[in-house]
Amino acid sequence: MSDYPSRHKARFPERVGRGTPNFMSALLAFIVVALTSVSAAPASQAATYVPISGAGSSWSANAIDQWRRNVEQYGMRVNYASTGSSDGRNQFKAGTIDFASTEIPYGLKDGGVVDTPPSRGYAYMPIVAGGTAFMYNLRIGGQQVTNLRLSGDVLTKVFTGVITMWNDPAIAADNPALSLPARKIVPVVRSDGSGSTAQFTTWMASQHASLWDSYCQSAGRSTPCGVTSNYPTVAGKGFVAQPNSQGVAGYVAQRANEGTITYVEYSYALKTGYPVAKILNKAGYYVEPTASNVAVALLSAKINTQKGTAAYLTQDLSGVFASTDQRTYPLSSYSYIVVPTNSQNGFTTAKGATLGAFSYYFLCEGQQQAEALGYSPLPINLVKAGLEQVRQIPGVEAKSIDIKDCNNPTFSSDGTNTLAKKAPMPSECDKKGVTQCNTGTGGAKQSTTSTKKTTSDGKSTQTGGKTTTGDDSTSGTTDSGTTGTDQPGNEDGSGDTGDGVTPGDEFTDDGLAPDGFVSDSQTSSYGAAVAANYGGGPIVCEPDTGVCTNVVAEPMTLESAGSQGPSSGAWIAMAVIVIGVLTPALTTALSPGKRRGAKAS
Amino acid sequence: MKSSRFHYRLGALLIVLGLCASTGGAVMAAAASASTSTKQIKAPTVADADDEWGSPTASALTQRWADAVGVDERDPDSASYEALKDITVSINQTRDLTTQGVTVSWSGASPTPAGKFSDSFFQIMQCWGDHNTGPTPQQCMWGTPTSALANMLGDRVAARTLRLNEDPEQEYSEELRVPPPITNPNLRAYSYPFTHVDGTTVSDVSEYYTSANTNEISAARTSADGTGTVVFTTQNAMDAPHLGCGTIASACWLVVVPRATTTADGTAVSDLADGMLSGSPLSATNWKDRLVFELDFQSIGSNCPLGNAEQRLVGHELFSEAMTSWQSGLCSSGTTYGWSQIGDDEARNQIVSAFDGAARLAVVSTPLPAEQRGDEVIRYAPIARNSIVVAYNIERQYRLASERRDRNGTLVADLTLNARLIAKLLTQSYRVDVPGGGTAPPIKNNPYSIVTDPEFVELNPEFADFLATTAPEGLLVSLGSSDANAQVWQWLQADPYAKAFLAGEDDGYGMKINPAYLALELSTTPTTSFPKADLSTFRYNAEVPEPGYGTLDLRPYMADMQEAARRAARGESGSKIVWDPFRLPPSFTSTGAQLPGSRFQIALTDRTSADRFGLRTANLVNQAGQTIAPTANAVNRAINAFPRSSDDPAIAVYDPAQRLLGAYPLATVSYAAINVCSATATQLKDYAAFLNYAAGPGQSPGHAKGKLPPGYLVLPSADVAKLKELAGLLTDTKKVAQSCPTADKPGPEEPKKKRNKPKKKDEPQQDETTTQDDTATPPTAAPVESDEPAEETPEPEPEPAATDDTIAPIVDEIEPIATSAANTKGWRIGATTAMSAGLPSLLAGTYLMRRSRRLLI
Repeated sequence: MSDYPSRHKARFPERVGRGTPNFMSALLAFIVVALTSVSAAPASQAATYVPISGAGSSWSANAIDQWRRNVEQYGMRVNYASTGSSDGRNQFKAGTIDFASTEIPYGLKDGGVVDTPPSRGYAYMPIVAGGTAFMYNLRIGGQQVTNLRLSGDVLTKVFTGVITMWNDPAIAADNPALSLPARKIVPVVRSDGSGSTAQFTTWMASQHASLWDSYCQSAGRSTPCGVTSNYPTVAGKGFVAQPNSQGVAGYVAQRANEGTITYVEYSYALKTGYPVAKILNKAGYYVEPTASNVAVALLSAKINTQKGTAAYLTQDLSGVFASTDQRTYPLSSYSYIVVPTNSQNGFTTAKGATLGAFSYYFLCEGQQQAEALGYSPLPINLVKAGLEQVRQIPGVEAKSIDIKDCNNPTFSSDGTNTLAKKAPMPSECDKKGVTQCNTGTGGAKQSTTSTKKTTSDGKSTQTGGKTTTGDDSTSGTTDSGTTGTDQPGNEDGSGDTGDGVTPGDEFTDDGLAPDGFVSDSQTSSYGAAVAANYGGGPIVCEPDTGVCTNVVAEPMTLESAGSQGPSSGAWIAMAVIVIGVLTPALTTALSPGKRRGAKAS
Repeated sequence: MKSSRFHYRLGALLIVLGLCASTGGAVMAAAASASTSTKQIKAPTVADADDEWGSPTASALTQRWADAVGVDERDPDSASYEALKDITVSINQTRDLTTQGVTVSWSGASPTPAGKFSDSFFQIMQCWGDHNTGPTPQQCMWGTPTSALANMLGDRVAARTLRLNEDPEQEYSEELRVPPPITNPNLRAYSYPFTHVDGTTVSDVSEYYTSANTNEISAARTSADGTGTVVFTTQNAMDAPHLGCGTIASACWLVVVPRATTTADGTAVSDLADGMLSGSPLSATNWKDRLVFELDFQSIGSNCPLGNAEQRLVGHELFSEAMTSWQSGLCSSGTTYGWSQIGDDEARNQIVSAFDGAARLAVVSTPLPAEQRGDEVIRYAPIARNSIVVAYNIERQYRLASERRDRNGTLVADLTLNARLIAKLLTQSYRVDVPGGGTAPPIKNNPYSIVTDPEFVELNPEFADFLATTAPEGLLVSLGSSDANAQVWQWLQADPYAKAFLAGEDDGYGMKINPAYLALELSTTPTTSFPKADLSTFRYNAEVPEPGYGTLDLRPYMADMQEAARRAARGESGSKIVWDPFRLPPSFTSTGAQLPGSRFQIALTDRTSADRFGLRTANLVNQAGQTIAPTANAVNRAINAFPRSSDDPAIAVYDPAQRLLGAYPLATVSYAAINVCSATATQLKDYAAFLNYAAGPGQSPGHAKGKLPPGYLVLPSADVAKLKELAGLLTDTKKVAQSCPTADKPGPEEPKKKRNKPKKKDEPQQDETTTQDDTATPPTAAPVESDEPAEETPEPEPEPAATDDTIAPIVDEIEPIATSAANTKGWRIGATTAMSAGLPSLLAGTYLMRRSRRLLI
């Protein structure tokens, strides 16, 4: 709220030259602009930073890459190599990097080997949340499938080589509206040590332990297999192993690689324009890892809140896997960075200052980008804990950030998670049963898949030039097809909003139907998730866009359009005045200045 | 005193202003002359087929070694004198530097022996030091080569370490004494410590820099004619705070140490056991032979204050570099801007999506198709001009028998590619790009690499002498879908030769497409990404487990075009095909970067990234059959002739069918697309400020923050006017309200009907420009025609009128080009105005500055 007036500083002069044919006045305006910015510059002089470098997770790399690009304007140079979580942890241990990014902590036993913690002091700090998505490449009669659904059991069987064909009855049961082809399933797994693999295997080990263990055993691993960063492969099963998230996503995103499916962070599906499978949650709904579904899921995550322990802030996701909220995406999780807590291995206090400032940025403002990129913003409790962790970095210029100024899209005044609160309920056609939504997912959100059983619907979705050569031919600009289909009510892009869930409806939905949700979060024993308050908070919906916002969380949207009229007039008036005043001032400043100068010399 | 400071500042401003205006004027004048010269171009190849790489700037500096400044007078009796006395070294830019590539070139030197770095090479480093006396060895960023590099050079040649009494001139003081290595505890070891600009002195430099981030050039080759060229990346205090360049703390220097054929004690290399020159360039005798160039860095400037809410914009990569630079200039206006680089499609989606916090301004190449746009009102303005380029970093590796072999290891300076060669590279059709080397037919019959492809050699005769085993590590391309990638494919599909190749025909020399790509029907299917479709895998031996390495191990994707350029410059594609059974888990690993002298990388990137990493750019054969370099002229020429989009007549988009003399085939335009009606009032204001910045300060070219990064082309005045006009619209509440369909307007149903309505007014235009091209714009072509009966009730009145105004100039520009009689009036007027305003202020500025400086002293 308070920064509202400052947003308009020095804005007016630019308007002056607009549309003025007289070049000189434009020139003058330019000078005024330049003067203003020069005189404003010292005020914004900020700390100078030294470059820092990190490496690790490719799961979170898409977010980190965007943050480091954005902090260049604050004078920070942050280098990051997306080499995989295991490599990141190893490099941090070896002291070759200043921070590592990972999804799992040190100290886990993997393939019989314990990943020993580094001798240098370190702490974990959550950086971003997201869903491990199942991106696939499948066609039926030449048309890309974009609405595939999988239950957890089937998913595990696919990735343990039990189900090998797309037309397996178990897959068909999840997809009543699809006539799946008799094509071999090609599971694509990571060949390098990876946090994505760790997350996926954590889920399998927890939810489908027997399937997972028997697969591990066949791959020559000891059981119980548990979590591993290195996906075991069995020769002859037809699995494909690729390096890095880019590798697996790039492999699936080949038109020719039909039948492939991989696990990768949701952002990679958006980047490559491919769909992701909706995964069945405990409430009986197939959901997509959108920002809001991940936010809802993570309300049930347990965070280790025992300060002082090495595993402080690491996650226990069993509550997420078991969450009974209809919107929960079961494979949701957080990514972390490992930061040094003392000056060793060339980590100077100057580097600490940069890393600290960078951390302040991504814990607050950087979270704004999460949803657009295919992640989910961190909830308030983790941001608070993260801000505490920053203080441990040697050399950090510790700030006491008022959490309200943190500008994180999940925050609300009443302590609830705005994003989770506003998360739309899944559409009824996403419920386990005989119906199946035909809307696209992931990076192929705009394309639809015609369904064999809903004839009337099928007709309508096949308009817009869907041809047998697949959606690629329908559009000159996209791989996955921004097609001409007319999807009333679910084009809002906010994820898997189903039919009839329009933005305007969201609040009534949320206000009325969160019963199971509230009780769920109340059972969370760690107190990490604050119980949501669904009744409170004034909510404003803009009439022209239908976008509703929580007043306290998003003060900027409060401005009414009416107040703009006079203010824009005022700017013009001020601009005129400024020119009027400055022009003579400039000229007078010039001439006597010269005279004085002459005397002085 | 105060007033003279004010004069100084005003003078500086005027200079900047003058420079901007004059440059703009010059560009416009150039554009005018370029368009007038259309008629004169007759020959199939044009003269400007050279890129702008490494061209000298106003602050270029040349020094002769024999009478170099800032160092002691040369001693004619020194052992190295004869070998070095004729050397002249030039740097193409020494002022206003930031972190960027500068070209260091020399002549008159002795050639480096073929195939090795035994002697007669150049060593280059960046130092800080006193303005008058220059840098000392301790003040130089030096001594951290990669181990592979160090192995190629003689003993300690790339290091800071000294050996006791190897150099009679060197004083082996206690200050240089370092703890002995564990392997030899009794050694009296000496090494130059490094002194940080803040005064701290350390013997272990790794705290400040390592081989990963140093910019030192351990050894650069001189070719047979005595010349050599190398790109040196200067680092400002943001990248190398220990040197402090760009802060007031220090003066900065480039130190060039030419090495001759004798060691510090005068021993000839030929008398040494291993025949390799030894000794650090920091050792006194070698250091005496240095040349020093003072570098003037731009002030690091003010950074945006951390902690403000960002107004976030989204868009494609082609705009990222400009945005990253502008962010620093924009925040002084009071609003801090954030930027998310996402695919064009995601960006278009986002501005019409409903999720909270969605940006309403996207920077994209093509407009939203009608179906995606729906009822939303989208306004566009051109915001950046750039081009997709094929950048390369190729060092000559001639055959033993070649007459040119003495030029080995020097940079190839000219490369030409046509559409079919690019198609070959993109489809893994060379054997070297296939796992295992393509031993199965039909790839078996294809050339091993582009170097042995007769079609390539015909265009680039120099490569006939190359070793047959040399090859690029594929064409480095990035992952994901974008309009830019689509444009590359459109170009290939419009080229009859490339199209035929993609469709499976041979190239006339018997080479055929990799069959894995034939199935993708790339000759006709619109494609927005670069497939890597060959699924074959390869194992060297039975030790490597099934299935071995595949295409993505051999030819990995780049994250984006900037990474592609960076990796090309480093000579490291990230290819991982060496099985390491001792890793945990055992996995394929990289063999590391290609060594200096044998780098061979080609990358698909943009002009800006190529410039940033000092890469040369290949000439492409355009649709008119000319060999064209991506010069500013050629790119502008192509863009000026872009036809209007069928999705939105307000903007002009790439048309692969266009045959235009002198036009570069892969020019790109970025448009700011704004969802005017869905944006909040704050967003509209911030967007307007952003557009005004883009139209004003953002058009001043330069490496500094806030400016238009090199590689981008300065927008023509018509585009600037459109930016300003759109900014004006956004700040005018009434106009915004008028252009938005609201409840009190004719009725909400009406715009809905409009969805698939034909844009009648531009249909004739469209027919003229896109007649042959039915594959390029399929999405709307069909629906538009079929929906003919829809009633024409255009959007609210005043706005279309405004849009029409902005369209008009485009028409003017397109038509003359089609008839080869360019209308240059606008350009000339612009040039005259800008220069007439710019030059006087430049002069006035200089005068004021000089005057005030005198007064200040």
